[in-house]
Amino acid sequence: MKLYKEEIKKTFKTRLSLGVILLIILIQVCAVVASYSKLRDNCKDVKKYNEYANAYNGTLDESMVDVNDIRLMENDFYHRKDDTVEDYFYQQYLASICRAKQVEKIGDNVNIPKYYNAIGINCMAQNLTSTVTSFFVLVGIIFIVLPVYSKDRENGMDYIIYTSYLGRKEICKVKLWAAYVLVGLWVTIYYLFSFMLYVGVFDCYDMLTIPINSIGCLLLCPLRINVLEYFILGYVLLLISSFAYTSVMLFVYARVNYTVFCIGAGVLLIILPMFLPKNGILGRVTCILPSVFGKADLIIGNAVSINIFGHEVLLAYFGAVVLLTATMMINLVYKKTFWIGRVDL
Amino acid sequence: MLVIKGLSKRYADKVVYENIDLTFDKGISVLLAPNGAGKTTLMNMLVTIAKPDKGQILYNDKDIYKLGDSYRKILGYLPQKVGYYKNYTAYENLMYVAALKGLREENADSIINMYLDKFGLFEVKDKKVKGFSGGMLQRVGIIGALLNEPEILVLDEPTAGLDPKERVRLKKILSDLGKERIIIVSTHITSDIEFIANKIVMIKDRKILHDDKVDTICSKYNGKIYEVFLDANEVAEFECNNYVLMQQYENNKVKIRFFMDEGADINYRSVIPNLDDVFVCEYKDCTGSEGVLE
Repeated sequence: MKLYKEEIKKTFKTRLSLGVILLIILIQVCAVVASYSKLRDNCKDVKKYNEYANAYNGTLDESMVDVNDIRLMENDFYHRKDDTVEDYFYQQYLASICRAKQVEKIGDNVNIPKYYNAIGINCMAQNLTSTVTSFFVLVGIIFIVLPVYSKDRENGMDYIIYTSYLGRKEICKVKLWAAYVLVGLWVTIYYLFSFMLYVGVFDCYDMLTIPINSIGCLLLCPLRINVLEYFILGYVLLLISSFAYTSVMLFVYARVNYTVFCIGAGVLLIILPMFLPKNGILGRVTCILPSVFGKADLIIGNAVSINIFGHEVLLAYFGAVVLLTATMMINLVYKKTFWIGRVDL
Repeated sequence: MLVIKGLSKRYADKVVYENIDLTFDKGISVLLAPNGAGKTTLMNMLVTIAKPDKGQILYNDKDIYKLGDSYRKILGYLPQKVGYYKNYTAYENLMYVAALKGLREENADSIINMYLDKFGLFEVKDKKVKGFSGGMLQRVGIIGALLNEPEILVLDEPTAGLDPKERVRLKKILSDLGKERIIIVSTHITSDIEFIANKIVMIKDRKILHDDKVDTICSKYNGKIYEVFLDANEVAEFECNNYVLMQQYENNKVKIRFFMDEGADINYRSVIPNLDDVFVCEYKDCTGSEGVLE
């Protein structure tokens, strides 16, 4: 137990790691504040919007419930920039109801027209379930895990570690778990902090229980979940991708002698998949790489499923299984070859 | 007892050791050789970081590589480049080493404080080691090696960076520790160990050159080391014809200490050879550039 503590302590004693973490959190705070100052005027007139919405009470028809209808409405809206406010809200409202109904007959809020001020949720979704978050989280991981490894060699501690009783016996296991604990902690803090920040700043606590498909900016989600569940799912996906990424990085760190190469390899692994084409088979495959998989919009949108032996499988499920399997495989190889290149044995 | 049997080791195309046998008993054994002779390689094998190509290293008749963790449990090692975390205090560094050695936190605390006091570092234990002098860092490294009360203590160049006062302190501590454990020290500075070593192992050309007590090794040079006082203008010519070990100015004369195998002039004063004389004579052909292995 004590050695775990000592390994984890290394990150908290490294200024570079702490600096990068604080910088990322600061950027996130600025992003939230900037979004709020830009959109705050749109958040205030809920009462007025609901009056608009009430005008359409009873006029909705379930026959309109179809994915294609929703897409048509959205396209229509984006092309008509001179829309009146009423048109806008009607479309938003209708789209929301259709989305909710598309998944299942939800019932609660379907027949009573109500405008949900989902601007905060929209912003949060665009931030937390996008490439931005997976990028920042994974960059943070590079610097969080780095001290657990590079410090040993840079400071000449590796020989002491290899010749110590617990060092040789436990070090591989301890470093692995210390890295995972640190990464889990980092992802949780980042995600929870961002979530609380958005909910607090945009005052959208009440929105957390509405169906995710009634949020205007998002594409259709095939799962019957509410906003909170959607973000929890996003957190789980991010956690899985982060652990997978951590495994790859540990593998790199254990073999590369220079910190700068470790950082370079880590950044390359994050950025490269982002620039790969998303269409076709390659696009589907790259969705499973950590930096792309970390986006929770894998559970919504067009590329939600892949065909496996004639069955449509949600990409998020498939990706989670692939990444967890890959993580375990890398760990096994890593444990077996940890000493190679380090000790003349 | 630590026994090396028929050990051979090579790196790429360079043979470092060829079929060597050695025995280390309780007390201080010193590996003495110039840089690049393979001291660190031998040390690495003794602490299980490297493995011999041939032969065995036995501790109490058991192969140390088979003993594995149980061997490392009774091992203390100070590498040539002392390891430490710059942003840690001396105490924190030692706590980390204590964790590696499996010491319980409460035991570690008292042992660390005891050694910090013994090595004169107690006052600075809460200061970050990045501000420490080379000697202070060396002492932190030595304390780290001692934390698990090792039965075998392997110290690679322990006196490097220590000032004379610290060297004396270390020699005293090593003498005390050597009473009940095997201590293997590598160095190329003879004055550090001449008076505390129980035995000297000199390595040359992949073989063990000497493996004996200091006096016994030095006695092999009895009648071969001389001193003479010369005028300054005579020194150059003398150097051409003799193997000079040392020269020193004294009262407008130059005192020359030199090696002569046989047939010394009666004007030369025969002196008792010391380890420095033996070292210089034995390694007179070495360029000191074999540092690839260090």
